Amino acid sequence: MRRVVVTGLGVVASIGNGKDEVLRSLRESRSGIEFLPEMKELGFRCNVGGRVKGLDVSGVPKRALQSMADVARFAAVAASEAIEDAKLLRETLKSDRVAVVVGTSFGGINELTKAEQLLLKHRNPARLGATGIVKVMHSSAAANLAAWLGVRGRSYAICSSFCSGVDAIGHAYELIARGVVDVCLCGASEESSLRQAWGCLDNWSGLPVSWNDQPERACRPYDVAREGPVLSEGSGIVLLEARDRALERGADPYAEIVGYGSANDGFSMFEPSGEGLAECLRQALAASEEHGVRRIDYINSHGTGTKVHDALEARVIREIFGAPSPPVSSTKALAGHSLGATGAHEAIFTLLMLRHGFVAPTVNLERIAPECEGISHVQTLRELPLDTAMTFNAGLGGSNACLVFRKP
Amino acid sequence: MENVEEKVKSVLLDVLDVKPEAIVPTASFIDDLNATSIDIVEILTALQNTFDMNISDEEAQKIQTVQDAVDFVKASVAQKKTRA
Repeated sequence: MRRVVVTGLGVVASIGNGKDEVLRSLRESRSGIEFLPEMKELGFRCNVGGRVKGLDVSGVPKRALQSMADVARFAAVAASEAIEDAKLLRETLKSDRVAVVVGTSFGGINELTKAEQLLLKHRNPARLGATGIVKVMHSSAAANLAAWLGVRGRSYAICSSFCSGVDAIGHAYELIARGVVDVCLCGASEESSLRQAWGCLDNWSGLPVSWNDQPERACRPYDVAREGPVLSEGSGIVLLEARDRALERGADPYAEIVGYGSANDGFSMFEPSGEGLAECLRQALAASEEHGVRRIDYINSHGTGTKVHDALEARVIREIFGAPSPPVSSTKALAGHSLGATGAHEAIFTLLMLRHGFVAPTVNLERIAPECEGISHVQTLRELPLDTAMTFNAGLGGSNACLVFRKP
Repeated sequence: MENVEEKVKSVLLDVLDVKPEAIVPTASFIDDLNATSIDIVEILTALQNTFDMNISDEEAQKIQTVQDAVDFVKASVAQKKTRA
């Protein structure tokens, strides 16, 4: 099995477009959460969320944009940055030894609902145009990247709810490790599903209602006053390469991927059991041990700010790592929960912390809930040289996934 | 009536990758503005949705240039007024 490194990353998120802005937000605890008038207009009790702001698509050709809804546009901008960040020539991507794997929960969902509204209103399919289908399909981001960049290897979406990003990166890692391809653009993307899915999430876990006048304080993972996740959108794309080839061309990798685990609870569509999470952490840790990893220096947790899951995660971390656990923080408190993109976002946040030697805190963690105690919560910014880091997520339908990175 | 020419031009600039100066009345979508078959569908869709009118397949065949589009929209709008 070949070794695999991350040589570039690109990001579009509520806390910034581009890795420089995101890095600043992580260091300075700058929240991406804001008051969203549309939530109020549509009758939500929670009026806060995270949106991508001021997206600049000027680097994407108009012809390419024609087949892209937001989900693909976010991914295109992020991918552009990742390629440039990796200092990889675009020509290199025009090969069947390159793959694109981009996860999502909902694809181009806003185009989908727009199309249905148009049809119901006009009773005339001619009103729908021809580009809707490729904008809407879940593989839209992956396919659009392949078509635009000339990628001729595998291209598809991986969909595992909130684990989509980690599973996409993990799958890409396996493709390269096995020698199927040499380079992979991978990650995840999610456009706002405020009108279609946020309401269901409100009914299932509740969204915070007490912080409409202080949006940046609304997402409170592990805190006694946590009221549920704050939802957001965006894309995170990383460039993975076979390590030998990357080093040969003079790349400067962020990290090597030394572990990937993925497991379902096999229990419930709605309630996590913790079994799948424990299993995927064990898988990733066992794999990383084979790469010589003996210690995890930081854990970026799923940490959504939900009553049940935060407590479950703390329990699983305690069980797997014992006390004291590695430092743990949840960046959802700053960036929100970008649903299908969240795994990719958090992998990227983790990689930035690994490179720059710091741990971003779980902001808003003012009073640790008793059921979330017993793990090493990071509540203020910590300058800390890191050699290894883990990120994990858990999704609706019992999915769980985990990556372990090691500095090269 | 709002300027139909400006609205049609705006639709074309939205769909096509062309400079505003290229959108002259005699410009043919395919021959002068390099419209693909997808572009043509998108132009016709956008015209229908912008002006809230339907364009049949037969009518669509006859809309080949910028002026054709402007003339069709003006005629449709006039017809709607007459019916109303």
